[in-house]
Amino acid sequence: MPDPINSTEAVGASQAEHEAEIARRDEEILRLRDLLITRDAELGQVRGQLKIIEDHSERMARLVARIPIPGLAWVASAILRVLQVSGR
Amino acid sequence: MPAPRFSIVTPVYETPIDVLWLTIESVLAQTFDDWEICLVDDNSPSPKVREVLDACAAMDPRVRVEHRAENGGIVAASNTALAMATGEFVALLDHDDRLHPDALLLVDEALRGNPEGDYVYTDEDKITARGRHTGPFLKPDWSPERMRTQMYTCHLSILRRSLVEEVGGFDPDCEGAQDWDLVLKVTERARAVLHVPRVLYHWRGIEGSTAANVDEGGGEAAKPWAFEAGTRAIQAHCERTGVQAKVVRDTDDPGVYHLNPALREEPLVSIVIPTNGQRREIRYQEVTLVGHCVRSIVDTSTYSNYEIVVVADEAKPGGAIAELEAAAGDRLRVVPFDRPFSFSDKINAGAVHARGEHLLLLNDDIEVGTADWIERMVMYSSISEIGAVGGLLLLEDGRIQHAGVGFEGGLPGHPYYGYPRGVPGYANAVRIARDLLAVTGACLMTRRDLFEEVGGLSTTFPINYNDVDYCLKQIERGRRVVYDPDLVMTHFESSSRSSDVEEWEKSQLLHRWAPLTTSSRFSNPYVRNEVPRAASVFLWAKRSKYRPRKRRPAAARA
Repeated sequence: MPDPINSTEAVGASQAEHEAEIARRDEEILRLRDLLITRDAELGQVRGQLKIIEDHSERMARLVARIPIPGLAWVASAILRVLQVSGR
Repeated sequence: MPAPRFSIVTPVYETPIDVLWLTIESVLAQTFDDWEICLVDDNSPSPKVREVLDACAAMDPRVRVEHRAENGGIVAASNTALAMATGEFVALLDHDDRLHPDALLLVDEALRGNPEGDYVYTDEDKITARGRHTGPFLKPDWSPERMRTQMYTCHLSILRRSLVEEVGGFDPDCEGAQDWDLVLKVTERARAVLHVPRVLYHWRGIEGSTAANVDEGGGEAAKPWAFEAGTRAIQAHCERTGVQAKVVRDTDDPGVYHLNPALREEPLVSIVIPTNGQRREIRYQEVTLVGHCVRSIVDTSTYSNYEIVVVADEAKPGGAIAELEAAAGDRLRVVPFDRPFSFSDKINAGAVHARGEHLLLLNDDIEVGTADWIERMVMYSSISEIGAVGGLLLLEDGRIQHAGVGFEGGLPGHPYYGYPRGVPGYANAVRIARDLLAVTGACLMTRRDLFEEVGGLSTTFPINYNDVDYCLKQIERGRRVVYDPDLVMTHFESSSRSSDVEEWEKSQLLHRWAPLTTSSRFSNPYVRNEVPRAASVFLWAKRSKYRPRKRRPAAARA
């Protein structure tokens, strides 16, 4: 399908029609931009929740590292690793 | 009998007998002996309550009991108990809660350390119906600002009796929030407020108690009038202390309040914005940062009396100034800057040209998100002892960038960085106004005379930490630095320069401020990065274990 603006068909179109078309496209760009901004905000919420989980996980890992019994520390860190992997 | 050190004031009404005994027993078990407990039965229908109280009074002469002829409510009963008190200090204990065995001992130690202490509070936790200890609240040191938005000192509260009498005891108009009202009145006159960072009070969350969760029948559902009384108590406090605010309750959390500005006048505010005219994409649109910032100020702000002082590099893009003039008109003043980059130097240059009573330091990568942001800042900045005020800054995607500056190992950081907006934080730390050691200079208001008094921003911190250093200079002079959660801005963070902090900057900050920043003044020694430290929780759990002694009156055994 030829581009209506660059094709010869466009030559006959009036100035007003071109302006209306540009305005329509501008509006569509704004609509899509707003949609992207909304999506970014939603993504921000999710990333924020993820940050909370990461921080908790990091604190738990630090705590596990301080467990003085080697075997217990290994078991605890293994559980933590499994939880971290399954959480991804 | 000589007057005791502490009078424990406990109004009693229809308390379950076992619970009442545990409360009194926790007082009898104190490791510090110089006390009396003033128990006032507010005409409980159950004869068992009278029996237990009389039996306890017979066991120990320090247990003093009075029975009211008619039910008068908690304020009347508390005032009757206050009238009975003879001690130097009054400790407030509810009829269903418990004290830690060392509570009075540790409070006495704190008071011996600072004899000017007129009000002392401790950390607390809750006891469930099954007797489990939960939710330790590890509190910061005295924060007047936090006290205006959250009754955070709550239990255990110990007040100098002479001051309590001076302010007229518990106010019947504040029934339900009478403790908060009393503490506000006493602290307005107190020479020193002390905090004992130990869990010494166990708040029982039985049905109908405010300590219980809303879901369990407690909270707002239990005492809706208490939260209305809270509003009245804070409003009256603001009027007494000259804080130009209207108090409103939080819509989500009934225990949280907000101060909205109610300014009597609008002094001139100078907004100082340093810029190098950088461009970047914001929300999928290429803009000049400073132009975007100024447009958001002009379009959003409801405050009328302000000027905008832009300190701009001489090598800035030519169109930037024209854009600013178009947006801000007569409010705009441009200060050319031709020296090597130094944020401090630029701000100081702007301050020299500023004419306002208040200086508002603003990064050029900020977008205003609260219409009454200037009013909010002026409300706080006008309070004589406040040296700086900042707000809640969000990243472009709405996550938290700044909710006050915290310190770890003496160095500053941003607690809750990257957390989603709406997260309440530890004990509602993000939602409430509170005192801190520092707030970010990306959006900070200070009074011009205070700015000049400390020599402005230190040029020895040209890039990083100049804001923290400034706040600490104010703290050192006895002023306070405040975070306002209702002042929300978007910060397109570090668009204009690298955010990496050099080692020499850290060393210099530590060299200058370590004694102040390594203390736990506005945090708790057992709280790290706004989260209770694991070790402290173990310590708390161990020390909260408390077994009643065998000595028990017959009435309580029945």
